Amino acid sequence: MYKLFYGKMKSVCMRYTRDQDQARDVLQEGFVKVFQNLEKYTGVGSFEGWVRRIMVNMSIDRFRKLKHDFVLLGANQDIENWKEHAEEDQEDEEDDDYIYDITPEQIVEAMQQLSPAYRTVFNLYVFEDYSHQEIAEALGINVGTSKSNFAKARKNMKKLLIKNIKTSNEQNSPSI
Amino acid sequence: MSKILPRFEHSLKDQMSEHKASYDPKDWYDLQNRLKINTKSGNHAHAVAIVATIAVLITGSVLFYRLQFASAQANLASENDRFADTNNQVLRLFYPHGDSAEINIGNDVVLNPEVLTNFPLDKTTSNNKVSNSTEVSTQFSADFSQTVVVDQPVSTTKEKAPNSVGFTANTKEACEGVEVEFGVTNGPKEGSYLWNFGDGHFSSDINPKHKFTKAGTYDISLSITSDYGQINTTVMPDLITIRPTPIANFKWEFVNENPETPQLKIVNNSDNASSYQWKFADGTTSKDVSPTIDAAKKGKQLVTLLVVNEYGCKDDAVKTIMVNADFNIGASSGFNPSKDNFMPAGLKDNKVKFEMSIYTTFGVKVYETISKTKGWDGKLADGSIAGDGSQYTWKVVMTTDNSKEEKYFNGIVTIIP
Repeated sequence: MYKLFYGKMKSVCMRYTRDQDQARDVLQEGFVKVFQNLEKYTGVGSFEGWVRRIMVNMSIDRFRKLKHDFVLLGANQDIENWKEHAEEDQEDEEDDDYIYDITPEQIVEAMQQLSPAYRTVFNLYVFEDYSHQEIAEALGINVGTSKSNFAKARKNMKKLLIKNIKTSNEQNSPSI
Repeated sequence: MSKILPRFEHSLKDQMSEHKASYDPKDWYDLQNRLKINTKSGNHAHAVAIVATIAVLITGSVLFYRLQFASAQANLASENDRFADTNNQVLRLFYPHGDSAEINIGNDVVLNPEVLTNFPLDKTTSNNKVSNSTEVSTQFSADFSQTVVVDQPVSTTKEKAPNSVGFTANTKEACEGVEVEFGVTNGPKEGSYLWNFGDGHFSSDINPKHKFTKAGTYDISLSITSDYGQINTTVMPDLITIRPTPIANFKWEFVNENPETPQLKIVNNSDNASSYQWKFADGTTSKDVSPTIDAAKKGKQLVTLLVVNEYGCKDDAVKTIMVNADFNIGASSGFNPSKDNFMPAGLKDNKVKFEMSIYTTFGVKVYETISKTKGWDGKLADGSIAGDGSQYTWKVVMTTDNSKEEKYFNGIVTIIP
């Protein structure tokens, strides 16, 4: 089972962490939890989904534990700021709403370069289908913060992806 | 809940949906260690039972993940776990210390009948928990909600799978392409063996031999499936290190740096070698990287090169160099006295001291010179010019500046019209 889910789950954990080591740590702790709680698996939903939820919860727990170390951008800002961000975001939505030919590795790489708060919010919103309300509850932040973090994370992701794609293209092109 | 994501987010999610990070086998050991820490003493049976439960789930996904199944199960079954069949959707596990767990394995789970027949089923009708003895650490029983109880037969030594199968290799380090021999210690006589050499190759021999073709460090694992279907896997991480093998190769070119003798300059283009050993047809040897050898004699020259790298891995190359003619200091075989004179090219083009004499076929000297500018013009002792088709013998004694040794050459020259 470990081998069966390893690849996908590690991919999940890598999105939530800064590097391989951290990802491995979360993954292993997640699997320990999976093994310990196996009897709690009710059979509702897919087993993979259940394992994945454990991994995500581990990542959320980890984030909450470390939260005081991070500066949660927008933690004290109100919803007004979010509106601004949302508007800014709306503007660039028009010109570069789609980036072609991104590999999963490039996405993971970019995710790892985000700040922990951005990374976690972006992950939950995009990949885990959480609403901002759910994110706020899970992370113990307010909804406005979740929204503003998401908007900034989204912007950064675009920038990082474009930058990373450019660098990797340069590296790949022959130097002679 | 599901929301509609903008295209950017949607494309990211799409890309990531099937992504799998590459597998690092070390993590499995790490996990086992963590599990040990987390399930100290009393919880051990619990953990084992869980592991076995997972094995059942894996069995279920066999249709989709047959390969993955095989390897995962091998790992999971390593502690003598047993699991069993069900036609029902609920799998209930009883742990020796009294807990039980129920797992709904769903309709889409298909158990592999081949595996099931390998497990001895003790068909007592009982719904009772199996509260067993002291050997709980490696056993559990499962009740599949109706009547079939699968008992865990690990207590009899006969059925017990080998717990501590060890294995050996005749070396820990080898060169690419060198056969490594593996052997088993403490292995059962019955059962099927499956060796995984870690390079994508497998063997079902008990004592296999395997050639690794790429340098690297390999984890070796051995899975022994007993006649009862128990699979015992032993893994030795980084057991074998394969060193790169050098590649011996060379080519050559004729050089004319030495007027006495044409030479072959050997161009060594071996890869990854640190020392060289040359052996030549005349029995001489050299340890130079690219030696130069004489090639005065007509015929085949066998050249052998043995290369060794820092790990002691070797390779050799044998080539035959063909010398088409004896060296005659570049003397032409004929000349026309009215247009030319006779002076071997090897004397003309180099700074050497020599004496050249020309003789008739009867051994009468007709000419001699020590100057390269004064070749024989065909004049005989009586002042006449040698006739067309007549042949004369030439002899050259040569001394070079750096050695007092004399070299002697001779040949025949024909007067041509």
